Amino acid sequence: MALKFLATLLRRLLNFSKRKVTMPESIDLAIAPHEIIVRGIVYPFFYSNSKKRLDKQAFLPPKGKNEVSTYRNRYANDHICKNSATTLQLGTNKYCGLAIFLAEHISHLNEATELEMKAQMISTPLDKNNQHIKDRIATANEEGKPFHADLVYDFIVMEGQPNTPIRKYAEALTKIAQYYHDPYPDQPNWRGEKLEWKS
Amino acid sequence: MISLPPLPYIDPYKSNQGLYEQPVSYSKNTISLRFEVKPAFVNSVRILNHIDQIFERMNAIANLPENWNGQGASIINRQTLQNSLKFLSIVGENITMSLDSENIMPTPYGTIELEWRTNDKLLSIEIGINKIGFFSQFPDQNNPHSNGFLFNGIKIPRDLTQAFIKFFQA
Repeated sequence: MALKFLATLLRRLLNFSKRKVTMPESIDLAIAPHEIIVRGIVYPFFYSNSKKRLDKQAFLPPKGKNEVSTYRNRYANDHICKNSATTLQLGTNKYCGLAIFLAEHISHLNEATELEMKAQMISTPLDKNNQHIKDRIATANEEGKPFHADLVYDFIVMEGQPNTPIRKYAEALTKIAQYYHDPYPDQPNWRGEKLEWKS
Repeated sequence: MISLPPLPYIDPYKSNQGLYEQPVSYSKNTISLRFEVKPAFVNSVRILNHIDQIFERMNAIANLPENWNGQGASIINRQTLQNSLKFLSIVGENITMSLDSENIMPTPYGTIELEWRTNDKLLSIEIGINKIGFFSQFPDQNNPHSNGFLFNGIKIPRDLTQAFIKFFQA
């Protein structure tokens, strides 16, 4: 009797251990060097259709700021990146594709002696109200943009004045970044070539 | 497409400069941007078509709404637009004619970039409310640059002039 009970208990324990328990994935605030960073691109001011060339405007911050919004492909698949980027459509601009680079490229640029400034990638998960989640660990499947990260420059741009160091840095990053044109920019979800770094 | 306004007849023997003027709608107001052209070029269709493209681009930039990139971009200040055209007026036709209108770009913080590019050379100029900055990239890695000099609408500094000469050297 006791043996039968122990066998049943053992079987239940084994079954329990085999059961798949899916926990929501936590957002790791440390961005790994090989992570793909994604930036939404709008036409005509981030990308030239006639020259098929990305412009440095894509990596310049607005007045009084030093950060540029990006997404971490590790936590946001290609569809999520595209669907988030399409919310950038404003004014005469229109979403046209996605640009990618690796987090380690920022470290490499920081070592370039000809550039007079540095930058870093910082994970800045956003909640459904676009507020930076600071008081808890964000999870990959929650509402908002938990996959959000900022490219943060150590230089705040002055409105209406030349900001040569940051433009030089953005130009260097533009040369590294790879642009993926969206063949169906007006439709939801990414149907273009899979986002991956081509070395 | 902005249509060309009728041009006044300018006698090249009596006047030093022609004046090409184009109204540009700007934040619900209309301002007039001016571009000066030497009389010898006033009747050149090629030059005026090119200037027309530059005005078309400037018009698009002038009409950008606040937050045009969805991330807090500034509108472009009227003085910055005027400075950009003044700058193009004084650098000369050859340089202006080699500027692709697509290489006139607004920045998210309210300045205007003018860029000259080839496969291995770059001269990138940034015009603001009262200053101009620039950087360059040349094959010899000797790349003149400036973080900003005051612009009075009359002269450009020697460093930038030399950068232009270097860029257009064969």
